[in-house]
Amino acid sequence: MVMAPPTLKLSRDDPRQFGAFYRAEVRAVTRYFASRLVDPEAALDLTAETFAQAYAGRRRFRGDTEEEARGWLFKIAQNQLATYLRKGYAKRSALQRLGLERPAADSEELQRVEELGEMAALRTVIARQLEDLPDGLREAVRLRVVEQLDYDEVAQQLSITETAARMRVSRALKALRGTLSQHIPMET
Amino acid sequence: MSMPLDQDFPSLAELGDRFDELAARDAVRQPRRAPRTSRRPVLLAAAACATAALVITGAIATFHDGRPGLSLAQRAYAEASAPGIAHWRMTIHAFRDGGPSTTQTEEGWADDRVQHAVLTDQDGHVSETRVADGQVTARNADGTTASGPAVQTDLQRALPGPDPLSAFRIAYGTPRLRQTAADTFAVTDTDDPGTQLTYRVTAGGDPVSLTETSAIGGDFRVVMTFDLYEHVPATPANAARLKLGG
Repeated sequence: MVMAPPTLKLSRDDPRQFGAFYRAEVRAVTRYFASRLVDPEAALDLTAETFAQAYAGRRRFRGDTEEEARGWLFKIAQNQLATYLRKGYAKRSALQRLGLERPAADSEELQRVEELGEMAALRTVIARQLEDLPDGLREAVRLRVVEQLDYDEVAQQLSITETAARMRVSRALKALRGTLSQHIPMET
Repeated sequence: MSMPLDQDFPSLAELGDRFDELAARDAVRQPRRAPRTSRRPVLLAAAACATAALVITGAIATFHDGRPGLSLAQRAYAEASAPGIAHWRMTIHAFRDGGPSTTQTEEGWADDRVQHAVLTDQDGHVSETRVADGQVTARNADGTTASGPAVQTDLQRALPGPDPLSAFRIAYGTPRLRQTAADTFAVTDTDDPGTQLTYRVTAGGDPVSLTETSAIGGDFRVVMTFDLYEHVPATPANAARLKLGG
């Protein structure tokens, strides 16, 4: 039986094929981020940037199967997640280069992203582990993750800049990564 | 069973529509690609062109490597993005805070996902690493092996792919890549302005060296001088080089 080439491969020469690849994989990619983060907006940002990078770089895909296409896509996602955890914010460089913006999600959709990634369970785990964190990080992650305040509100409450608030939350989550890894799927 | 995307996740469904609009525009603008050819016929054809030019004009050819219409950046990009498995040999000098350098040699292979490198330090100890999907497996000089998540330094993060030229390839065509001298390109990370990659290339675009400089945690500089950089076909034998011991 001859397998049809993956839509990602077809999109190298015909970009209109990319939409089918996007619709086939977007839930899995969103779940990947949602199950590793506690911020549904960040999960959507990273999902959008991952597909933007995939679109921009689709000609570099050399595989012949859907599995290879998926593996290639999740490699981009892994890099996005690593960068996010290191920097504390989601990059949008590929989206900007393509002239795309992620459409805003309403509260119901954000709730569904939370459910997709079982974020509530993850929040409970994090809340239990807060005592292990240094003082400066503990309050930042409590406000952001447990209280679910926006970063500007976290910054206001701690009398620091928004960038500093993002960095503190990012560092705290990094410090908790050992604990989190027991509660989140490690494979794609 | 999940609901249709536009009911479950309307913003993601709308983003899909935006990709469709972008793709429709690009499909109109994008010329059909010619089938890719291997480098060898290209080089042979280039050599034939250069020879013909010499015969006809009797002058010194200024065709560089036979691709007279290409800029240096385009030639360097072509070298960096050729199909197949990247294979390199390099000498690495690392300097920290103006102190004496450490030296090692590396032979490596990489595709888009995996890097396998064999390192020989200045005392002759040989070790191997294989990095794939965020996991590193290492075979140390004493023969022991270990594996775990690939923890990267800031300098290593500046190289976003398994292949040492991946940063150049990604930055190509964006403002992050600047030609800073006749044979030199710099790649800056706008998020980490303290870290910079500098590529030096030949007139034909082959890589000569890659220098990473970082001011993060002290002055740190790594100079990698390429003895070889090539792409080999992704045959089973060459793919085996992506494995430890390969």
